[in-house]
Amino acid sequence: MGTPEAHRRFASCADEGAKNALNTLLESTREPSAYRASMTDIGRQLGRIVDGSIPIGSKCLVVATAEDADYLAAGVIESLRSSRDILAAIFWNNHYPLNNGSIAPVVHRYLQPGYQDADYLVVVKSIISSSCVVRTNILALIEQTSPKRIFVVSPVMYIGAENALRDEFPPAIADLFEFVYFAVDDYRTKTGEVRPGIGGQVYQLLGLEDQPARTGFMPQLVKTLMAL
Amino acid sequence: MMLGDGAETEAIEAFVEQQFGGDAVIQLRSIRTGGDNNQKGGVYENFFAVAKICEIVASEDNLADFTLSAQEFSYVDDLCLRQRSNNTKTNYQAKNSSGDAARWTPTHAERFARQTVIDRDFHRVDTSNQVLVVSCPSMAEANRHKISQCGRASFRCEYFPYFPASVQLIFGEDTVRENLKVICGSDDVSTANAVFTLLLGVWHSAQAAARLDDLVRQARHISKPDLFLGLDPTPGPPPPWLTGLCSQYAGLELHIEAGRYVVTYRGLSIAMKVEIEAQMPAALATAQTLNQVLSYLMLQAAPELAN
Repeated sequence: MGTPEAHRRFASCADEGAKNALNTLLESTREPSAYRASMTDIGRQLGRIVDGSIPIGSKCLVVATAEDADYLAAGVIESLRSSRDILAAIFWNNHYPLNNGSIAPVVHRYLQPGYQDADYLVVVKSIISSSCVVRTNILALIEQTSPKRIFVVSPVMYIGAENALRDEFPPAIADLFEFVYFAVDDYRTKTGEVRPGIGGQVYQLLGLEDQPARTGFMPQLVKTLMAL
Repeated sequence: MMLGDGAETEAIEAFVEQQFGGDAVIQLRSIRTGGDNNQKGGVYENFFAVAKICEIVASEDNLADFTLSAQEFSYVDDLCLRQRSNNTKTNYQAKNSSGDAARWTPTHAERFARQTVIDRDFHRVDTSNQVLVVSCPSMAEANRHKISQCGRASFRCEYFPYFPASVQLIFGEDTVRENLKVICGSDDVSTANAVFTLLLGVWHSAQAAARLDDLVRQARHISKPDLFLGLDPTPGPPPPWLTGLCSQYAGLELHIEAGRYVVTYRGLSIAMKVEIEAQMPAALATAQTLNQVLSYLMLQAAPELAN
């Protein structure tokens, strides 16, 4: 495989803070609490970049999986919410491999009332490898919303994932995409895990047993928004 | 008969030589070789095959009556649909082209005619149809006009658009989307795309003569959760304990959607299989907060998702 560093190219928007945050993430893989904090910090940093591209006063729908809601997505929301209306769409996907790729059907979902009126979608994902989950969740929303732009936000993407996601959609939708990420990795194991990526399977790293759809995990973000 | 069956290939060759001569056998062999080499055609042909599967699954009750195969040893070889009950065989040649490759020519007429004879006298079918499928609507229209002059009602040309990705096909071809809506019991496009992907996967794995009920069974087996609930009878009313539970908490509502019981609360949607306990589960009876209730209901999806 070579050294992990040899398989990573940093994006132009990745300053020293972002690079340090990614390194901290990889160093935190044995401590879920530290890993969570690091992921949240990365979310703040990514959110600050997106913040510069979305007009003040806009209504933004932050889209995330249940595992990313309380950390990466929470960090992004923190950076965006001071001058905008922020709504949330959270999906419990069941992501698994097929012989011809993978799918991630939605099992449960949380759609904050009023989500249809969002001007911008900010789709947050801890790692984008096959783009299957991101594709699924955009599809689950695209016909109920009329976004001016769709930001796809991730700490790390696998090489080619951006083009692969664009190629899936009709041009009218793909042309709305704007990708914000700190690094592109070009190595992936046979099981589809990006290396160095985010250090492994995000569920276990965050201290979750498995995919939230399989455990009934409810993010605090959703509990808060439901006033539960 | 199975694809690639050496005995059948030899028998067909012998039949063709007897009927049409040795050059016809050479022509038939060249068609088969061409099918192996055409990768781009593979995407178009496979999407057409899955669209055809969706069409039949959405509209027919007896899926066991239909068999689909690809790349048979045939003059019209991209797809072959058999219907056993009326002994009908329909063969498709798919051309992702707006140029000469898709244009109806006397060569097509000759191949279609020969295949009709093979179907009737070798395969012993009662009805044989040959269809040229093209990705250009104006070419399809021009072809139909030419075919009408052949005087063969069993020859036709159909239009099927080319899209490089299933999402684009679903957005771009209303018929495919409508059929998937029937299959899923929902118009959610993410679900439709997942179903299409599942069917494409089992079709790829099959690639030999496959009964449609078997294809659907295989797709449902690997669908986690089961996304094919539009094919099942409409669920009956939920058990009284579930409706009673929802009435205990303001804002907790219940409806049936896409073949599942869906509990909603302030934007949250929890989907459950309709095969649930007739009596309130003990774990729910002891739940004291709405949070506990929602967590329990969410967990009911887990067994269906297990590998």
